[in-house]
Amino acid sequence: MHKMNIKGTRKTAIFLLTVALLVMYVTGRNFLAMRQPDVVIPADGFEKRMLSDWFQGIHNTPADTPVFIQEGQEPGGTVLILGGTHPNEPAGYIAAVLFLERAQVQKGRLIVIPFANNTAFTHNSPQEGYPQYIRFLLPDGSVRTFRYGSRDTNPVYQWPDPDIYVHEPSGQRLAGSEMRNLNRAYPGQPHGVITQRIAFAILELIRKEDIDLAFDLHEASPEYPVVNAIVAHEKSLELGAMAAMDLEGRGIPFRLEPSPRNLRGLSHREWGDHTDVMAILMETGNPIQGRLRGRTNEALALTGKDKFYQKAAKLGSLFIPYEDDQPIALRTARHVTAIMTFLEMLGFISEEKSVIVNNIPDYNDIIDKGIEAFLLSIS
Amino acid sequence: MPAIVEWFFPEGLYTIAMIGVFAVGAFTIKFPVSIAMAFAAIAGALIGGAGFPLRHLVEGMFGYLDTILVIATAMIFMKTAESTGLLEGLAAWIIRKFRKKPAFLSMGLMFIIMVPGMITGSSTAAVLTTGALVAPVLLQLGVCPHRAAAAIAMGAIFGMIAPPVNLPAMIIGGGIDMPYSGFGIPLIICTLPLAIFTAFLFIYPPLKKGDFSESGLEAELKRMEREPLSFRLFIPLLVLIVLFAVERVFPSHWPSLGMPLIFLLAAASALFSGVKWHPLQTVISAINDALPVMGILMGVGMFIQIMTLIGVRGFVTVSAIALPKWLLYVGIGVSIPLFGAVSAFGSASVLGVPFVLALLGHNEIIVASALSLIAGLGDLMPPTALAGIFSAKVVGEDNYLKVLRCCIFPAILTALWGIAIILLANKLAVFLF
Amino acid sequence: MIMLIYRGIALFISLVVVHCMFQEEEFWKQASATMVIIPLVMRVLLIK
Repeated sequence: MHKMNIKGTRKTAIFLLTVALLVMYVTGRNFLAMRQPDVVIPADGFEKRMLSDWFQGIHNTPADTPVFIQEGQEPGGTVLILGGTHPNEPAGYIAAVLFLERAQVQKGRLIVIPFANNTAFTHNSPQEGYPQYIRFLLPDGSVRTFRYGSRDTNPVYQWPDPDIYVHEPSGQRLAGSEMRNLNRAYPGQPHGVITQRIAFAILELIRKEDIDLAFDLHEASPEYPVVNAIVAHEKSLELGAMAAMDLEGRGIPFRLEPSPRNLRGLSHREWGDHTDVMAILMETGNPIQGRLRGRTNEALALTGKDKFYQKAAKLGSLFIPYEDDQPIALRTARHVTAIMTFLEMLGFISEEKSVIVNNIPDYNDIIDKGIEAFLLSIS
Repeated sequence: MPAIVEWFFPEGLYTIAMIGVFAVGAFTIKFPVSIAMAFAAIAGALIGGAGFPLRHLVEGMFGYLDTILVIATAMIFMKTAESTGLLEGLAAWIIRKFRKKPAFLSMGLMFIIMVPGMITGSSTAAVLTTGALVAPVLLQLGVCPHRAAAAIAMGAIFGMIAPPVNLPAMIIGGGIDMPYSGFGIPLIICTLPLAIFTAFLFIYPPLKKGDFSESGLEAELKRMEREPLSFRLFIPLLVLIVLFAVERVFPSHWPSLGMPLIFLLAAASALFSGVKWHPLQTVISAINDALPVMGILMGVGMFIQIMTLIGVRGFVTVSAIALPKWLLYVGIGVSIPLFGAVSAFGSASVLGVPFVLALLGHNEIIVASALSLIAGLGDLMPPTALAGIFSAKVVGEDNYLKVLRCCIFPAILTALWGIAIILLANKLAVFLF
Repeated sequence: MIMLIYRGIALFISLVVVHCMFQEEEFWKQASATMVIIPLVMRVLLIK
């Protein structure tokens, strides 16, 4: 074939720039659409506040995020459920949303932050080919849509990344992009970059609200050793062991991992070190996050069904039991059931700190009927 | 369907289609590499049933936004140092000072090539700064252009991998939640012997032979010394070194300016060097020189995004880790550098992380160090070949493939060295930690 | 502050790339430069 030689002139340059503008306009609208917040419908009794109420440093910034509080009739402890630390780990924030839309608190207080890193919901990480939204078709025919975001803060709000991220105050060094990872930013810095300020705000909330037990809900790739796991700070290790044993007995096995002391900036380490809270981080296995995944789309996020993970499972490369799929209902059910088990165990440890939450579907219900059966209809 | 067919369809077919479209575009129709990559990405999306996903094509490019800023500004700095006469003057000074001590000079030059890579974690930065500085020295000392470029490319890669800053190792560590600490000595073991070997392979022989005409050299040195080396001439280099050093030594007390800003500040400080030069022309010529590589990275960004979208990435990754144990090491030595054709960092992330996980049980720090070394070789692989293409450029060689041919032997040795370190990881660990 | 500086750097480089485009005599190399301009400008405008 001949070399396709086309002469470049001022006219072709102007033409190409026009095409560039058109591309920027079309894709720009698409990217900006992700800044529309997701709709949630809090159950009766929840009071909506904003995270900036606990730390003014994020007021009027895209990082400010709703905090929902429900207080039961009887006095008790306070529990925090944090979803959306990493918006590419949907079972984490869907579990938080499930609590938000259904919980009836009988004793103590429940605080839910469904979208912890709000800015990370507004974009997707480059070169991952992720879907922008996941959708649930409800029984009445309506659709609930949630954004599928990025692990990290949108660089539009925090740029550039340093070459090396030096964690404050430990001095630990990590790759520069980790500076936009909320779960490497704790205990946070009141005058730091936006991700550090979000972390600081969450810690302020934990301190000022005197939280007794706090969950940070995550997902991990199935080939990553800390998956289907409960990671517990020293202060919560006993409670974690009780919960893990109980869950094991019910056929829902979780690995119990003590929070490593030398890995800084993570919720399960810094929440426990810097406040009195019992910190728990939980992981379920999410194939769309993994490096072994094949075709990447909304269906994979929802079903976890993937040809290459099936192969990898046969090779023994995975840390979750994986046969054909790993649906979001199963992953969410694990989070929800584990949280309910923890609440039960909290009651055993301390009657006055116990928190009782009703109207939460049980494990088999969620798996059998799917998430869509338990989300509220917008219409 | 037989298992192998089921395995191959359709992702294997997509892989071949994407590579095929790229090859036809780049080699038959002779599009620029960037455009051939973009067409391969578009073709992959169409064949893979993803339509024409404009959003994905644009999003993929953002993966290299920071990298193109580094490349553009590093090039501006280098062109500035060239315009003021600093590069050549400094090279001439080094030759005069050390030409009677060939072994020392060989290793010293290699070390100089490595330093910016060690500090910035980028082989491009090494090639474009001290690589460009050393290039005329090597040529004057009788090293042939291809071998000079090969020495610079290899040195830049060893610099990128050597401590204190190694981005591929940080990327691999990030993928398995391993903090970047304790890597210093393993990375020295990975790089130092290879750097010394490469210096003696490429630089030492002509120096030892003294295969250059004294009068020719003297005339050339005189030409290179057109600007007398004054303190003011050194200002850009000093600004560069000081800004980098301060950021690395006092990371908690000094704001991170980032490489692009540092390069630009250093280049701007050349306004005080007391020499006449044309800033605007220098910047334009720098961007003109950097544009092809910046374009390639944009094309690669689209390519990776689409290969991830349609399942090609998973096909490549799982095929690599599905290799039987005895082939695993061959797989590491071959697939990581090959995948580096799209980018060394991309290779560290896409393949480095699964391989560390496949090698659990070996000391992870040492394994990650060795994998980062092998990932570094990706910077030699065309079409991106960041280290290679720029090294060819700084010695004035247009055909990178000639340089690549010289690099093959040290590159194979590097891969073997990396694999040996993985095999010995636990024994080394007992010794080191 | 640092973000503003970097947006400035990205804008500066975009402008030089546009200038180079107009000097370029091969269409496909102009097209390659266009690919570089798109993400730079979108970051300058804080769209992506």
